[in-house]
Amino acid sequence: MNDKELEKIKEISASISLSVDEKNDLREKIISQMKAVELKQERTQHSKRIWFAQFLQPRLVPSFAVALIFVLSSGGIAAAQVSLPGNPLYGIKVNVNEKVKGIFMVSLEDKAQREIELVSRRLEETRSLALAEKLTPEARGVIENQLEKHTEKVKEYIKTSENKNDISQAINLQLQLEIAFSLNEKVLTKIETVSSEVSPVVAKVRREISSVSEEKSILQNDLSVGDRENENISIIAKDRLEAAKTVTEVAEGLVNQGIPQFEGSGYEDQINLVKQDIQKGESLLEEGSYQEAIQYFDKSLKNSSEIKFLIENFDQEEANRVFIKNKTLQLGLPDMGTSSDTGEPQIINDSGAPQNQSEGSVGKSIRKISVPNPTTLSSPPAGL
Amino acid sequence: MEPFEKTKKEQEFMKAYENLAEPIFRHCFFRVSDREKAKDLAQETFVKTWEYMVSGKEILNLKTFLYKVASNLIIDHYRKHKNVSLDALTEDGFDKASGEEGADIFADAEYSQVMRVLKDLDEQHQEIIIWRYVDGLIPSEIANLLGVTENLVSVRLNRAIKKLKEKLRI
Repeated sequence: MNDKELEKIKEISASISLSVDEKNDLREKIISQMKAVELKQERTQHSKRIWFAQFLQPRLVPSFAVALIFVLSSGGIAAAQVSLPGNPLYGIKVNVNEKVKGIFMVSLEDKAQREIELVSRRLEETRSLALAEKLTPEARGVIENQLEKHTEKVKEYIKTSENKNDISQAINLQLQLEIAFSLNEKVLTKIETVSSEVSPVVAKVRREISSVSEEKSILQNDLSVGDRENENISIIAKDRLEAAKTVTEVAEGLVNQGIPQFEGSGYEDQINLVKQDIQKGESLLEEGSYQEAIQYFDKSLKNSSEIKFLIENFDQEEANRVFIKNKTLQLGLPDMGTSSDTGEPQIINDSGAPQNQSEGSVGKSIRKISVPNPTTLSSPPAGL
Repeated sequence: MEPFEKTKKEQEFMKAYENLAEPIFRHCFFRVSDREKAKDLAQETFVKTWEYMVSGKEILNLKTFLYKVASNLIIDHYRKHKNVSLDALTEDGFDKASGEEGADIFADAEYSQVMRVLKDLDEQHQEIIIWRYVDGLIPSEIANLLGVTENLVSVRLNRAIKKLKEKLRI
């Protein structure tokens, strides 16, 4: 097409562009809207899941017929979905609802991811029970038992991937499991003071993190030592770089949204540290030190996922409750963190003592907001 | 959506943003002749696309999908702003605000004439010329966007070029 008119159109087209600032501004706006879209989507999907579960139960699990009659006639599925250990519907949730959903997963990766999701869910239940002061030794036992089952299943899927010589998938699943444990470990560590039953779960989670991380390193070593010419390891490194960059960008977008609770919370500094790690990894990648580069990328991915997770799951009420509990312990006062009737956090005055809300006088700035201080980032990977 | 699947989608989406923000903006700019409006439309295009992605639906070709969304949004824009006619836009010419590099090109009478004529074409012809010569889409991509065969795209493109030349001769 050498037509003069068309060439002119092309020339004009080439002269129209976004400035760097405009492109950055547009990116920030899009990232901040992505979060709103996801939240909206999650709410919609939650409603759909409940409907789907209601439709399937009676046909697929006849042995639970009696229970299901109750469940279906009373809207119990929805109740089971949100039930926690100690609730009669919890058994239906873990033995029926969750298993039924798993039946429809076809690929090994989907099945493994489903189990990883359930690992996270069990740990979230631990947190909910602890915050409601209902994490009894029995409830913890139930959760730990389930946690073990899901973890074992993920490990089986990882083993199957290895046996199929799909090392890349095996490593990916290990990383996902490690991240799921790490994120929840951070959250649970923050509420250890709330319930003494949390600590054993945290200890278990830490053991799992260490075990998965070790197994992942072995596989990555095998991959690089076994076949240095193989491009697999470099492809994995590049994939990890992309993933780390993306999650960091999303986390940065969330940090920069200007939400007052997160101002001065140290997240900006942490994002900068994550970026530095990515840069170090990129240099190693250029040098062909894929193994070391992957360690930096994985670390960045974990840390940026953690920031993202903490911001997305920030719960003001929970932060208040943990703050009150910690303050109570610190001052050696009797437990008064929550009003026993409602479970609502009390207002705390500047000295840390609880204040009767009815006595609160207008104009007194008494409300404490507990900012979720992110835990210090872990030190660089060993050997670097 | 599973967490890792979500991360993969975020990765794919952000990569698409880096590569296609500029072309999508340019496409919108050519269609609405307003720099700020074009930026808004580009933003909405990416947000709508993300909305579709997180709903779990599959997108076979993200690039053509983005163009399709942009195109639909532009049509909606004109439906909502019926008072702003294409004629008025043609008279006003392009929004040259911001003093961006290359703005001088609009001072050239020949270029202005080409752009006026382009905007004077019917929507279908205008769109196909912009896709091909502004966005640089290949016929198979345009065929994908329009849901027609590549042959039909070639036919429509030839007709559009013919129309453009006819109008330039008037």
